[in-house]
Amino acid sequence: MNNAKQIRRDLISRVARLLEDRTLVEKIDRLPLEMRPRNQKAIRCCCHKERAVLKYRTMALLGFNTSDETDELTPLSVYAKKAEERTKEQYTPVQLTVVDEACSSCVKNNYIVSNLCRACVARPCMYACKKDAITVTDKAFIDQDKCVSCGLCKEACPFHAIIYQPIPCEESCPVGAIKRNENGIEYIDDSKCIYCGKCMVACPFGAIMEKSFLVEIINSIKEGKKVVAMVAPALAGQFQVDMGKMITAIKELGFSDVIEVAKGANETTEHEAKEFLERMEEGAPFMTTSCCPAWVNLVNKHMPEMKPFVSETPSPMVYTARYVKANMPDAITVFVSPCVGKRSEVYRTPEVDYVVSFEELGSWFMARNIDVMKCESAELDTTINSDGRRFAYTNGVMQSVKNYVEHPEEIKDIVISGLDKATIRTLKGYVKSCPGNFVEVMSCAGGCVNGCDVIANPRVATRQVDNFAKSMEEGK
Amino acid sequence: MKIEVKICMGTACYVMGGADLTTLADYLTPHQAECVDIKGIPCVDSCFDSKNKKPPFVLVGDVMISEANVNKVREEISRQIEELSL
Ligand code: SF4
Ligand code: SF4
Ligand code: FES
Repeated sequence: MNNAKQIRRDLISRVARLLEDRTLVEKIDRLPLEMRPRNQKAIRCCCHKERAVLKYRTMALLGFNTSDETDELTPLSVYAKKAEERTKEQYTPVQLTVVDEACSSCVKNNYIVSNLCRACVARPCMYACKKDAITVTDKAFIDQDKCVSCGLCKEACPFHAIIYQPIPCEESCPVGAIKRNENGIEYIDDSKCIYCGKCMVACPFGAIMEKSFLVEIINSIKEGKKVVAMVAPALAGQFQVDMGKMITAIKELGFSDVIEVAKGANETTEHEAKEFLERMEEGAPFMTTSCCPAWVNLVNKHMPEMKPFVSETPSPMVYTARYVKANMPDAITVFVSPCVGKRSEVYRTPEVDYVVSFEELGSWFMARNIDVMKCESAELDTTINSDGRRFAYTNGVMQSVKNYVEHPEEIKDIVISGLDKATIRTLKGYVKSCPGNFVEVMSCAGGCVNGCDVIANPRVATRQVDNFAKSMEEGK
Repeated sequence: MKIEVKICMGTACYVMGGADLTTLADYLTPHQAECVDIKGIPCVDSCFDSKNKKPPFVLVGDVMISEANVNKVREEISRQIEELSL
């Protein structure tokens, strides 16, 4: 938890409250003022700056990118109205937005001179710099306009006086998709972004926001439509209550039904196992999983050579949605998600209408004063094989497939838990030679229990998901 | 005698940071851990009438901590250990 996250959750819950009261358009303009009254001590320079930041954060919650703004004077109420009238077709594929007001444009270049500098006579930094960016008077000075962040000066200084200052979001991005523009403000290159959400977690200013579907979801419920929640397996570990209570709490929000995506995970397992055996028969060297959208995005945008090896089996979310649409054709399907990656998958999945993240769900409970601990336990689906519930953490998919096939010893498994520059390099190597025949890839270290939108501590959540899976097995 | 540490696990507290406190025990010294009895409790209703105080709420003995985090709670625990000379 940190301050940026707290502000975000507070804001989500306030927007949800306005939607619940059906006063969004009427009251949204006051929201930044209420959150940052004039007399309160500001964390940033002043309350006006903070209100501006809140305004753009709210825009994201209304489902807009900051770049959708054409006139700075357009009030939130105008966006709110647009959001309420928006159809699904008007939705754009870009799921993350950098709130430029919030981005502190951390540093222009990564290298700075600390006060350890002795202004030595030799001046090795000056000679090392190929860009002529360094001058030395009483201390070395780097001309930020000339510096290209090559780091040669740092290597040269015998006093270690030049230090590397990381830019948290850029550092966290495994594919170099987030960069500074000419004003030093970060922007995300959508042609590169894989929607892993790592930058969002890394930014200490909370400048990166996901675009939300809150308006669509809450309004659909308010209009009396049949809205079905499909909960990701990782949800079982998010609150300190059992899944039965969780389901009741979600129904109290107005969802007509709550379905565990573990159900679809069972189907994914079946098809994935069959696909694996078929491919092996055909002589393929290996196959990778495909349920993590960030991994699929990575392959599509950066590793086309890997494409032939990625499973074509739909994800648990897709199977679950198909089941819902087949049985309740008029239902609106909402995936309850651990991450922003799933938003990008939903964009290309017609069966799923909307996404609500774990964080949004929790904040929405807060808005409605629903205490999950005090909810009654709803009945659970006992037809689900608990292996599907274990998709929530790393190795879960692998184990599930192993349990399904007749000869698990024929599976030579490799489990990639967390995408970063190093694991991406490893994965690229697999195209040429792979030491196993079945590769599970999860973008988040530890699996979906560590998604970018989770509430619970991943370790605690893993234990809880596992206990839940076990208890359901024993119950049978 | 043990100091009771009651962490509010009601929705508001939990979402606003209480979730992080589920691992509080990992951050205590062995001595501190011996002196406390940690448990999660349902909403203590402070989230509704919070004028200036904000969730998450944690009760250490009978001291109510608002906007609690691991550090604040740990400090209060060690203060009380000293006070009670445990
Ligand atoms: S979501 Fe992931 S890939 Fe996209 S910019 Fe952020 S860190 Fe990079
Ligand atoms: S591992 Fe899970 S939570 Fe993380 S990006 Fe993939 S699907 Fe989302
Ligand atoms: S949720 Fe903690 S006081 Fe209500």
